[in-house]
Amino acid sequence: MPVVSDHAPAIEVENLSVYYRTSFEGADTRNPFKLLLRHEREHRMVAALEDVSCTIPSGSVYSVVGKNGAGKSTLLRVLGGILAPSAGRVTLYHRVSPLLATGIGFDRRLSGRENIMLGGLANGLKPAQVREHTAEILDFAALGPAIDSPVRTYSSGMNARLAFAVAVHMEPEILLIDEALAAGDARFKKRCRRKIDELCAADVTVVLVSHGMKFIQAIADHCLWLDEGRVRAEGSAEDVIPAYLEELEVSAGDESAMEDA
Amino acid sequence: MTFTAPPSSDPSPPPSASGSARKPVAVFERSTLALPALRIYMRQLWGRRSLVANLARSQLKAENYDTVLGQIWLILNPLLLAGVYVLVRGVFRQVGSTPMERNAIIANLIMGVFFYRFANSIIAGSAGSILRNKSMVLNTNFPRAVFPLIGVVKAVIEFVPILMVLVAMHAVLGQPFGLSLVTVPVLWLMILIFSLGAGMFFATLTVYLRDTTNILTFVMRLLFFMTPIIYTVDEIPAGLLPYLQFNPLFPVFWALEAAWDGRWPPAVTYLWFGAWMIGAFLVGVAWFISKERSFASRL
Ligand SMILES: Nc1ncnc2c1ncn2[C@@H]1O[C@H](COP(=O)(O)OP(=O)(O)OP(=O)(O)O)[C@@H](O)[C@H]1O
Ligand SMILES: [Mg+2]
Repeated sequence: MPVVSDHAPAIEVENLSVYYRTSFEGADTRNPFKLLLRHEREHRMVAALEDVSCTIPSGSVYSVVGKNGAGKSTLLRVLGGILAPSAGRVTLYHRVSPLLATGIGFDRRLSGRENIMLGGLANGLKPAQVREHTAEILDFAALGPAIDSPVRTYSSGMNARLAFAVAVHMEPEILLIDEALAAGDARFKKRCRRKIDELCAADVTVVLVSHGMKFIQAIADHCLWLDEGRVRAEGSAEDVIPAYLEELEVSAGDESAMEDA
Repeated sequence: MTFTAPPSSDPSPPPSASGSARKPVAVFERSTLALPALRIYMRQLWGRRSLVANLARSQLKAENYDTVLGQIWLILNPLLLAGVYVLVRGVFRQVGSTPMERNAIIANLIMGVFFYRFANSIIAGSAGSILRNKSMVLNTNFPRAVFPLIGVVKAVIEFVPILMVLVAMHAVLGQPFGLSLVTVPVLWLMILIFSLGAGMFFATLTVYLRDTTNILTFVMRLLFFMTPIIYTVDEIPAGLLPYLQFNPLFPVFWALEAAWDGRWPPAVTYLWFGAWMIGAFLVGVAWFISKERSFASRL
């Protein structure tokens, strides 16, 4: 892992825009002739991100918050090199390991143990390196005998544990986590928090998307607030998160926005 | 995205946009039609060779998990299919006039069915590979050529037991083990390369036009009957030949038929199929890897 000074950027995002192109049926799809000819089919460009700029310092826990559909997952996909920008530029100064959504589903028919190997290889490790880490991963996920049953039989929390355990043991330099922790129980979240602290101490950059505001408040030092694809605020977690919570409370009425997702 | 990933050992880092002296590992920009740097792409792909092997093996294992006969289906399936074609052929036409001729026709038919299955499983498998692995495409960032290659490795693994059955059948039917059989591995490899190219072409097309998978099924079925498998090259009526020649697989199965029968394949069959092979491979691979960076936004 390269040694870098405290505030050097790990990722720079400049004027990033991402558009999805979707096609969908027009209003009247019951008419078989129209369906046949697809004249009713329309194309629409969805602007998932528009003119987003931010700098992610290395060794930080950088959180991305925003309402459903704000573009958080899209941003992480671009950072992970999965989606190409429609405009703008992203510069990475370290190697990135993406763990997106429910990450591990490589082959849900296979056992957790086999999926650990696939996950490691997909992240660019060699088989021997993955085997080296397997014991730690098993230990961290703490799934017991379930590790040898097919992943399709797992609960969403078990899935999340396995995915997170694999991701943090892949010798990441930049770790992208999208909602991977939401389904874990309180004890597991605590363990994750300790692990993330540990990684940051080793100068790993963590970009974290979550609706669990308590968790984010406890762990993040920087925060990007996305609103309908645009940057609403960016800065230190102490400044941005309270502002976001305030807006959530306004829009959610008396329901507590602090409730963990 | 343009991958401008210089090797980290380079001692003279150019200044980055921020003015810091550190060198970027990767820069992602608007994707263009241009090909990514091929050397970097191939290096990244080579780095995932264990992933390809592992995924192929585990998918094969998972596919026949729940059946009673398990892996035996890999052999039984094409054998039964060949049996059906022998039967169908026998109903419409006498299979050869002498027992010797009959055996030669049956041996050619079985070989043809097995080789065509090999080609078809690579083409159809690759064509659907991006859509089938949607969640992996959306959540990982390795070169997308991994997905069609998994299909190739699977087809090759499946072909090993089939080859043993073929050799056994060849002996049982009293067919010649002539020197011309040495051309079979070459023809097999040519089929593999052609099929990979065609498969990558259709995989890209499928992302943009979902109807491709439906159409491809029928095209492959049609091409089967346009290939000298359930009939021999000699049996083709002169009026039909010009149409069959449009089938890219026609010349290679012509060559296979000759080789299997103990004759040297005519040189024209190599040149003809070789041209198809090179064309399909170059076009398929180039189109796939120039478009693969936009796959994720269209799934
Ligand atoms: N594959 C896709 N095709 C078309 N539109 C998409 C696609 N994925 C996302 N979008 C659109 O892009 C926008 C941003 O989606 P994104 O998944 O990034 O939101 P998000 O912030 O992660 O939301 P959530 O909190 O619910 O996870 C949404 O309007 C969504 O409808
Ligand atoms: Mg999301």
